[in-house]
Amino acid sequence: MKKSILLKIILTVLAVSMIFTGCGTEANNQLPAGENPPVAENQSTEETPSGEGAEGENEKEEVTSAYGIIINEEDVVFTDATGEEVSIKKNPQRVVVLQNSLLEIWDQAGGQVVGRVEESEDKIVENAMSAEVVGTMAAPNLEKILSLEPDLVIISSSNRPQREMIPLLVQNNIQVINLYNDFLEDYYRTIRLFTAITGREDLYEDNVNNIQKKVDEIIAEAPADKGYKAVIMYATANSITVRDSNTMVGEMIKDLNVANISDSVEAGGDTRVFSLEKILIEDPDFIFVQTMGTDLEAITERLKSEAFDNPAWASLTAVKEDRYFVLPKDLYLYKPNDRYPEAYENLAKMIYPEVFGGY
Amino acid sequence: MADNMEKKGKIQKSVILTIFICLSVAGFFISIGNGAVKISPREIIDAIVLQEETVNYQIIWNVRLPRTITASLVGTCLALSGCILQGVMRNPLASPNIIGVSSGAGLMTLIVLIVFPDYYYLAPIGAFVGAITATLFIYFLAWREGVATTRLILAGVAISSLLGAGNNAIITFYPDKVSGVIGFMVGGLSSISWKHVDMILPYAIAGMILILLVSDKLNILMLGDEVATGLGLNVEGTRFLFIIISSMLAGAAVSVVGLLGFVGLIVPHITRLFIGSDYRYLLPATIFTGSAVVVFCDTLARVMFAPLEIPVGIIMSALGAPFFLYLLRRKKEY
Repeated sequence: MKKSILLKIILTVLAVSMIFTGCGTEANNQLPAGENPPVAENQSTEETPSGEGAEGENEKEEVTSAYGIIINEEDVVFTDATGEEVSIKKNPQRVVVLQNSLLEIWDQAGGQVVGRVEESEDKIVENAMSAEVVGTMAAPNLEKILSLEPDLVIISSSNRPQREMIPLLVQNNIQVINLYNDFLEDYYRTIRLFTAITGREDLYEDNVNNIQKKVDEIIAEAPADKGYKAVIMYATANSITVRDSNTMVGEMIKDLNVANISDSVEAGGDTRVFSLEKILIEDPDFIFVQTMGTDLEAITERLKSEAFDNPAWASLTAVKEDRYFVLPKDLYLYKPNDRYPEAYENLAKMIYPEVFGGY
Repeated sequence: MADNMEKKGKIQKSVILTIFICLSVAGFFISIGNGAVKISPREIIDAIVLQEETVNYQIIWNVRLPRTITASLVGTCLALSGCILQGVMRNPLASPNIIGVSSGAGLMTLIVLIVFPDYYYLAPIGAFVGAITATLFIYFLAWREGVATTRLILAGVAISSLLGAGNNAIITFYPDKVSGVIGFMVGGLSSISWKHVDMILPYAIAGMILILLVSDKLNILMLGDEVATGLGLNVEGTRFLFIIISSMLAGAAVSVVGLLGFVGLIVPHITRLFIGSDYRYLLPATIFTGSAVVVFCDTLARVMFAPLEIPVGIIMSALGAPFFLYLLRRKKEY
């Protein structure tokens, strides 16, 4: 008798507590009230850049609305990686950045951080080294982040653990910037966004002049009539995975007027195993190989000698005429950010030595 | 009467073996004839006979031929390895994974490719060494005045678990470098060249010869430890020999194509369902069924979504598993 009564009590308690957990999750989903009003105001004006902002910022609006960023007196409004309109207050005091590539851009925009993730050996942002380490890019520690009492956290949208943290950060009234940083356009947009938030228009001007203009110059100078074909590969021991035009390096060579032989295929993603037969038939003019290795010279030598030893690879024009290039990881695997001009210039030198000089 | 039945059994098995050999040879030619680029049979013959430096010649001689040979040898090695282990362990679920081949090879390859990416060319050697080392480790862990098969299997499971955790640890600490090793973890034949044939051929041939010489010992071992000892067999020594041969065969295969599953476990069973459990027929038959399965599936993997290639492991599981289930339902042995 006693056991069955006890059981009934336990079941009743469980059932009641389940009702309360339901209430809890509902509250989580609502953003703090402060986020919403600016969005409603600016949405209608986004389409008409010329009629915007009576404070004499018309020119700036035209430039920035190209990236969908609107700079107001107190805050900046933009569209984040999820397509949401987000408003961020200018001049945040305590910033945590969870991705080293974005940290580099934030630093270049004149931003300070109180928290960062573990640095990777190739990308050290000097000014940020004194900040607290809150974990790794793959596993940032929420408790540590919260303990720093940040007012802004910048995350990378391609990183799932970071994305999953967003509701918890928002719940704690912390502003979150969720960004993609995969292509050149993303970099331009990010530097515009960050300099707007830090209020450093001077640094933005620097960036436009030193970086964006330089890249445009290189692209403009690249001959458009040579009709070159290339393949971009990732070097592993076992398989040929290729990069099409929807990847960072793929976009770079496309900008330089080189066709990518792996573009003819429908499927997306940048780790697709590709047939060597197809490469042999297409006989691309250039072969670019990305590598994770640190000693570029040693790897290049080894890859080239492997290519020469293998009769199938050795029959390719690109291998025979020494147009087989190994791309260093700091410029072509990691995001080059402010070194985009260098990245483009190197490729241009490889592809059009007659115009840009040899590599 | 009994004599006649035995003769009939032998003839039947020989016929089945011949059919397997024909399938294997057919697979060989189909594989050479098909790929991402359409080459007609006439052009194939031209390429082989004339041996001129045309693209077709390159594709046939230096891409398809080494790939087909390697696929064939890999299939043979893995299937033989699984077949031997199933006999030695007297367990139908035995496969090269149980003796730590996959986990040992996988961990060593991950270490080389991720922690020391400059030495990526050492990955195949690392895989082979990792496989054999894991097997020896498991064997000695399970040793207690001899190795009981249950202890061996349990030690294998524990070590595989440990090495698997090592794999996951590396993936956790180097997440941005992982995409480069996915190809190995899934297993595939996509950049096979004559160099790989050189790597696997000696082990495959040595393994095949050894196994065919001692296949009758495996029959005796199947009768149980006591009976086998009573019949004069050195049980521990024989078991150790078979396990090492099995590890060597599987290690060679894994080092060349990565962690290819399915073949080691299921192909011996498919063969057994057709030809029975007499190892004097089963082992030779497995050589050809293993080869046929991998060669056919690799051809499909190359051709289905050309010029993209699907990992051959996916094709094998997708086609092989239903086929095996069908056989399981039809035949009465299990």
